[in-house]
Amino acid sequence: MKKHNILLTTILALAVITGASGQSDEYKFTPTGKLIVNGINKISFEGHDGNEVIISTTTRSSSKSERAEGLRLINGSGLEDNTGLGVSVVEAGGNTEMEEISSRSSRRYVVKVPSSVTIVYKHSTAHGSAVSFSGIRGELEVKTNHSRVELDDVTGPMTISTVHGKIEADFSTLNQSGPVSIASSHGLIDVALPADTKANLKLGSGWGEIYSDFDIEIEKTTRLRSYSSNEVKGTLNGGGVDFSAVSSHGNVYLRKK
Amino acid sequence: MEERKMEDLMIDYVQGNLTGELKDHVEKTIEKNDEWKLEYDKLSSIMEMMDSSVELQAEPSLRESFDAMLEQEISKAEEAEVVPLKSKTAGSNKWMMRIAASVALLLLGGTIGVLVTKNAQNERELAALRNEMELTKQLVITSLQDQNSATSRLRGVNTSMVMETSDDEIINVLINTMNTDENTNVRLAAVSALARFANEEQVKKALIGALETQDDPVVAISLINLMVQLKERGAVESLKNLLHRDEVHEAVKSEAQLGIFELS
Repeated sequence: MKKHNILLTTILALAVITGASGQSDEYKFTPTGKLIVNGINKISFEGHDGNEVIISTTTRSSSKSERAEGLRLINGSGLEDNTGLGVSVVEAGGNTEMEEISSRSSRRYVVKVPSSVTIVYKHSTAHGSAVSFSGIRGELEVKTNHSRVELDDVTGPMTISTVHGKIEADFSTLNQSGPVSIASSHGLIDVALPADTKANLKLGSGWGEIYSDFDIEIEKTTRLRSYSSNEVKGTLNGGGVDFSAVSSHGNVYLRKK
Repeated sequence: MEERKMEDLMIDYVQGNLTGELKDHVEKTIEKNDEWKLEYDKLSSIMEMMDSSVELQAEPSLRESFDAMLEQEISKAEEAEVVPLKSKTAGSNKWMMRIAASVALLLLGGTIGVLVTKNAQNERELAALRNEMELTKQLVITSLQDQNSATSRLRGVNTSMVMETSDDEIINVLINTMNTDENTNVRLAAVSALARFANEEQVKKALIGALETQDDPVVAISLINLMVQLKERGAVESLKNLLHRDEVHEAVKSEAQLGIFELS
């Protein structure tokens, strides 16, 4: 009995704390088409088995003062906070678009996404620092300017590109249904693949180096001129889906796990 | 019967030998009937292929079966030669002549038969080869139109890499993809695909042209590096122009500077 009481008190205490930190900081919806996310500075995506997208934020909005009580956050692109979390979620062109209202916000968002949903994430300003994806099974399209891209427990198909960011990707398996393309202009690319991965591989670094501990069956003779000065083309475990990792200035690392 | 006639007409039509009413008739049939449309496409691709300078060597197996058939025909002819001689009273020159003629005919017929078969087989093989090329092309083009999936378009560009000879239609589609696709990685793949044919004037022009119009910084940087690797001095002017444009990404400008340094 005593133990139960302690448990109950703890739960109550937790509930009070959660209550004090504001209303439930979560927004759920069933997405239409792709989930397109534009320019949220701090965000991580997690795959989950449900049918809904669940957005949550751990940080309270700093701009929401008493003075703004009863008002909604709006901005010049006609977006308004329809989630109560500082982001707008609207349906547009058969897809679902999610955008942050305030460009100055430093709130961190976590978005849980059903595995069947394609995620498109674009970040074009210099304010981003990192975007992370874990356990994603759907198709992935990521394009950033400065943000580094962290991918953990992913499978592809995916297209990832960044101008300055580095890209780190840990694949749990390589989905053979579609290609993977990872590209950075100035950042390094570090990829880990299971040892038995089957792939048609292309690794390239214009001004950097390429490192790997895989036994790559290198395609040495191409009748046509290979344009890149530092490019490795070949197959892994007899070949499979197209997998490319190319950086113009950064090194490229391919690890076997 | 009707079909046979239609097929003949179709061949004439494909070869451009039809005029007036007959031509209209064939055109309407193709338009209305999907099966004939398919037939028309097949025929025209075969004609096109026969016109083009593609030359194929007969497969050794084909040659072997030809020889075997020829031998068979010869032995059949020999049998035919023997039988009548035994059954008929000798002495008739006319009979001999007839037999000789029939043997000759048999041989000739056999040979023609074999030749026709061989020809048809060759045509089928050509058509199959052509079909494969066509299929690859169609696959590339349809995938690239899939606005819904970037990786599907990427697969399309990658598929084009199996085509070792350049094809105008594919080149144009790739140029368009490099300049306008909304996905950076798809554009990059198109640059790589085009780079394989960079020694062709049309492609080189498009690549240099893209330097100044490319609005995706990652792709622009990749293009500049391509110019450096190809030692393409013709790109310097375009690179210099980039330096003075406000809208150009800083990273692209510094890459252009590097490019100018490497190429000058």
